[in-house]
Formats: sequence, structure tokens, C-alpha cells
Amino acid sequence: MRRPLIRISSQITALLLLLACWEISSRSGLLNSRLVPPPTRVMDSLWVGLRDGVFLDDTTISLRRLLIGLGVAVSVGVPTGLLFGRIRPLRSAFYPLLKFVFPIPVAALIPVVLVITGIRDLLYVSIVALATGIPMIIATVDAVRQTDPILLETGATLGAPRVSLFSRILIPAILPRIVHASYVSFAIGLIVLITAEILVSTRGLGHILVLAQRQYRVADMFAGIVVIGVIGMTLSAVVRALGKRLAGWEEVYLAKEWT
Amino acid sequence: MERESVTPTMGESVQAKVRSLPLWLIQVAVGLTGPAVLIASWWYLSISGSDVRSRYLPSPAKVAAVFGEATSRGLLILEAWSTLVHFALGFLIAAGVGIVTGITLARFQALSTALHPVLNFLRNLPGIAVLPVFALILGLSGATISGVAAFASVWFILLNTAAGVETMDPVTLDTTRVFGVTGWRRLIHVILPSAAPRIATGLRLGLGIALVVSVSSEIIIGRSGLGFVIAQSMATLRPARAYAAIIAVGLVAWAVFYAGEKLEARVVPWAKQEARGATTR
Repeated sequence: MRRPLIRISSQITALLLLLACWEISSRSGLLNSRLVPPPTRVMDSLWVGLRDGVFLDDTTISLRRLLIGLGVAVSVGVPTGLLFGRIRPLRSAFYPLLKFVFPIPVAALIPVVLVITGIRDLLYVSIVALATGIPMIIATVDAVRQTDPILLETGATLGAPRVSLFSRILIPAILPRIVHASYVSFAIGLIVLITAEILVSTRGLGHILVLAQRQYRVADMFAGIVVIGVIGMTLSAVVRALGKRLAGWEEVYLAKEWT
Repeated sequence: MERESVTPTMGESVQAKVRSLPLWLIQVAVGLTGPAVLIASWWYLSISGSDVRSRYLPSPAKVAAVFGEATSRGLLILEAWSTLVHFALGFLIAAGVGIVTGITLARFQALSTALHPVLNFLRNLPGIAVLPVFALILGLSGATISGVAAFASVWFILLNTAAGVETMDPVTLDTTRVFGVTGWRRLIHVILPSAAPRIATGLRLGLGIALVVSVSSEIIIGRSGLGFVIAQSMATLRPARAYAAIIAVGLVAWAVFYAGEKLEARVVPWAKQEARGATTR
């Protein structure tokens, strides 16, 4: 499949075929259409939602929460990881703790964070920041420690000032791993955001899903899922493009599949 | 001895340390400062400040007491088991479906390319978003929780498996064909071992996702499991119980990841060094 035209047309065909199968099985009663509506109905409610601005408002709210949370995670996580990576006593004191905390699903903390923050944007932002920040710190520490020390020593021997050792050698060396870590952990960030919104929010995309479920508007529920999926896809495409731009020399970014 | 303390060489100073205190003891002591700082600040926050805060943030001692009591009465163990079952069912389904479909897909290159946008969409859809749909179809049951966990994690396993098979060395495949190794033998002895590192990466990702999604689903719709205990305890104003359950979630997660790592090192010892660049999540 070298020619892009063939590739794209095969992809469109596959998508249309799948949708057609779904449409037929839903309309013919093979699937219960009250639980799984045909895609045309989903597209209808997607269109109505977009036209009336319902999705747009809630998407903006969710996106703001998500992006602030991810921003906090990166801007706190990476410097902290650099500190832990370069300063041995700090690392020995906190790294084992982080490693221990790391696998805990942050979603478990939503109910207890809720009573501290109340139902405010702060809740969603801090949950997202927690869920992505800890993996960011760990990835940064690992990246710093796996940086070839000879690179830094060579730079120092050749008389590079500390600042440029940092900005010209260490940062470029750890960047690929940090971008890759974001790619993975941002997915978790989105999961916990939607979880929190399903659980308590009065706005946002998770809330749209709950509302549609309670009122038994099944097509709207599927439309909400499509919107959430598009956001997830866009987010990972952005991180991927960023990775290619910032760290395109790394093998990882040239691989066809970057899953 | 005095000479040493003035200008110790590297070897001597380390030796002196080792003689005075075992090295592992020093490492453990330093490693414990982190948790100590955390617990101390937690303790301070829980006893200082307003009434509201102390009501919702129980002291570590109280949480430890509740944890001990709930564990000895078997409550936490029962619920932890429930969480483990929800997660394991979902993850195993995802692993089975993901690996089999991934290998099949990789064998039909055209199909794999054609389906790529759809799979990419599903991989990037946060799995928890389908919970309301699953809840309508399967009801508020453990099947829903496992189903959502399976749905959320299967794409990571599938795509990584397919990528592992697709990026196989073509020379290996040609060589096996020349030697007449085909069918199942080829699959088991050639394709699976060389795709194993990527499969392991996919399983590692899927493990984390399935765990997060199981606990999330329990919090939202569960009638059993640690997530359910957390949500219910907070709703009935028993925060110490919620914190005890969170600690139990941590222990379960830790055990699952530990088992996964051990299993990976045992089954595919060559995976770790090959799957570089992939974070353990």
C-alpha cells in the first residue's frame, strides 16, 4: 500500500462497510436498536448537538480542565524529575515512594479529593494532574539516569558552561522519552477526567453521557462517545506531531505504529 | 584511621561506611524518608486546621486502625478479591482477543491498513466513556465492569501485537519458509517469539488501563469491589474506611504489576531489552 490514494480509499471503504453493517444489523433487529441505535441516528444527534452548541460548550469545559491538568503535570513533573534525577539524596528519598504510588489507579482518589476541593474545576484539574504527573516524574528520572554520562562529561571537558550542558545535552537527550511518556500517560489523564465527570460533574463531556443515559437518549450517548473519541485522537495526534518535531531523530518516532 | 577521615579515597570511604553500617540499611533508611515526610505532612494536615478538614481527612493512625480491623474481619479482602476478579476477567478477555486478532490482522496487510483509522479511534477513546452504554446493555453488574475493562485495554494489546508481527525481520520469515516450517509450528516457534516484546508492551499498557478502568467503573456503578467501598464510604461519611480501601487498591495494583513483571521476565526474558522507549505503564 505505497500509494496514499489507494490507502485512503481502502480506509474509507472499510469505515463505510463497518458503518453499513452496523446500520443494517441495528435496523433489522439483529442488534436491539433501542440499546444500539443505527449510525445514521447517531450522526443525527451529533449534528443536532453540534448545531445547537451543546457539545461545543461541554467540550470547551472538558478540554480546559484536561489541558490545565496536563499542563500542570508536565510543568511540575518534568522539573521535579530533573531534580530527582540529578540530585542523588532526593532521588533515594522519594523515588521508591513514587514507584510504589505509581501503579495506584488515581481514579480511586476521586471521592476523597472531591470532599477536599468540592465540585469545582480544581477537582478535575488536580485529578488529571495527579494521574499524569506521577508517570511524568518517573519517566523524567529514568530518562535522566539513562542518559549516557559520557555525553555530559565530554561537554564539560570541552568547556561548556553548566547552562548549556543542561539545555544542549541533557534536555535533548531526555526529550524523546518524555514525549513518549506523555503519549501514554495522557490517555490515562483523559480516562480519569471522564470518570470524574461521569461521577460528579454538572458540566463537561462525561456529564453529557450520564445525562443522556438517565434520560434514555441512546443516540446522544453514542454521539457523546464519538466526540470524546475525537478529542482523544486529536490529543494523541498532537503529542505525536510534537514528538516528531522535538525528537524526530529518535527511532521510536519513525516507527509506523506508535502505540 | 585519622588519615582516612581527612582525605579518604573513594574505596576507603565506602569501605568505612560498610563496616560501620550495612549498606542496605542506609539505603532503606534514606528510602524511608520519603514516605516518612508524606505521612508526617498527612498527619499534620489531619490534626491541624478546621473541623471540616479533620472530618474528611482522618489521621494515618485512624486509617491504619480501620484498615487493620476491616482486613481482620475479612471485609477488605473480600472486596479486594472482587476487584481482582473484575479486573482479571476483563484483562484476560482483552489479552486473548487482542493477541489473536492482532496476529490475524498482521497477516492481512491490506485489511490492517484499511482498518487503521478505526482502530486508532478506538485506541484513543478513553474506555470509561463506553460505561454508560455497557451499563444499559449488561446492567449494573460485574459483567459490565469486566466488559468495559476489556474494551478499554484490548486495542492497546491488539495494535501492539499487530505491530510486533508486522515489523518482523522478513529474512526470518523467508528462511523458515525455505526450511518448510509452516502453519502452527511457524506461528508458535517463529512468529510469537519474535513478536513477543511488542506483545509484552501491549499487555503492560493494557494491564494499567484495565486496572484504572475497573476501579473507575466500580466507583461509578459497582455493587462490590474496592472502588465501590471507596465511593460508598465517602457517601456515608466514613472517610477512614475510604482511605483504608484506597490503600487496599494500592496493594492490589502493586501485586498485579509485580506479578506481571515477574511473569514477563520469566516468559519473555528477551522482551525487556528489546522494547526500549516503551514506558512501563
